Amino acid sequence: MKKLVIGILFLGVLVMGYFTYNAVCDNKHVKNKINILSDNILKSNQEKEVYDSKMKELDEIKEKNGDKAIKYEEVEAWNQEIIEYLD
Amino acid sequence: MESRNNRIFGLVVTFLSILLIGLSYLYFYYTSENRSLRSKLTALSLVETQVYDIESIDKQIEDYKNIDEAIKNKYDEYYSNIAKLEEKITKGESSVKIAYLTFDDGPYDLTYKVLDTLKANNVRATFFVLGKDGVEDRYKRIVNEGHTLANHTYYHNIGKGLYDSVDGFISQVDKLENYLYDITGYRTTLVRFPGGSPTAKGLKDGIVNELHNRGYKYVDWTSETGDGSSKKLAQKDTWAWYQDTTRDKDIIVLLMHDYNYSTYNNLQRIIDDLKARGFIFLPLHNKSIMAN
Repeated sequence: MKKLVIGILFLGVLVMGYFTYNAVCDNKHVKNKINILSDNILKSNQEKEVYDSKMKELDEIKEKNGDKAIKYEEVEAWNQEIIEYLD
Repeated sequence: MESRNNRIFGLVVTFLSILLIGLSYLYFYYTSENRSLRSKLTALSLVETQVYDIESIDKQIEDYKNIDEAIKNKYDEYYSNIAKLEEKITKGESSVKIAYLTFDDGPYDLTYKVLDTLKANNVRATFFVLGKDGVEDRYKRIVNEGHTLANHTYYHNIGKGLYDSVDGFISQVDKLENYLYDITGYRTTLVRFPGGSPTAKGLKDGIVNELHNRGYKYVDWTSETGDGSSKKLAQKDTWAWYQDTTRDKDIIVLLMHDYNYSTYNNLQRIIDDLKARGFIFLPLHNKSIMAN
């Protein structure tokens, strides 16, 4: 009878040990995933801030040099016409 | 003995029970935490992350910062290609013909109409201008519409000192160059002698040397509408001049004046005729074989 009680208790410890081990491993795994996702989001947010500021700078310089950019494209188009005649 | 066994049994049962309770506590603790962590993970997975191409934006900013240099290089490439095309034409390797329409002595009021006609036909030409006050918008329009703005000296005072000395001539070129640059931000690279280069007579070589030292080339003409000889020349006469002087040529530099209505009234007809004869219209540049 005593052996049976000890056996049942021991078996209970083994089973609970197994489940607890799984729960701890799962916990570590999920925390790791959360850390990776959080880092990616943080990085993305930081990149977005840099990107937004660069885009603002680009818009300003485009506005300032807009006519020149059009001129560049215009000369390129003329150049392409001549290249066609050369071919 | 039995009492000892009972004590050991009691200790083992107590130990195993405590262990079981501890493990059960840990199990429920981690299971509960995992549930909340998984909810957090699901929420984070829904947050959209994006890859931003900052390198490409940097390159565009750099390109825009160097836009003046980029335009200059593109013009150089364009003019070099025209020069190659001229070479092919002169060797008979291309069926294309080139017409360089040139307008001297302006800008005048009529320059607006000339520019309108050129624009309507998508034709770019060359304007050998003089220094004039109050017509800044015309200089700017010539440049903005892709025509070549070229130097015809500031005063064009043939017979009144222009050809008295090399320095006198060059000072007028410099004066106009600076004047035009202040207005348009554009540096001229071509000069046309008022009256044509033979008018400079013995001073020609000296003037040409000085022009070359300044990076200029000069251009005369191969064809004309004759409108420089008289402002009252009839339309049929300018047309006859045009026909006579453009015959049998594959590359023409056509001299006209943007003060002359007779020429202006023929301009559309001239453009149509040249197009029908296989000419394309280009602005003059100092890499052209027509520039000396």
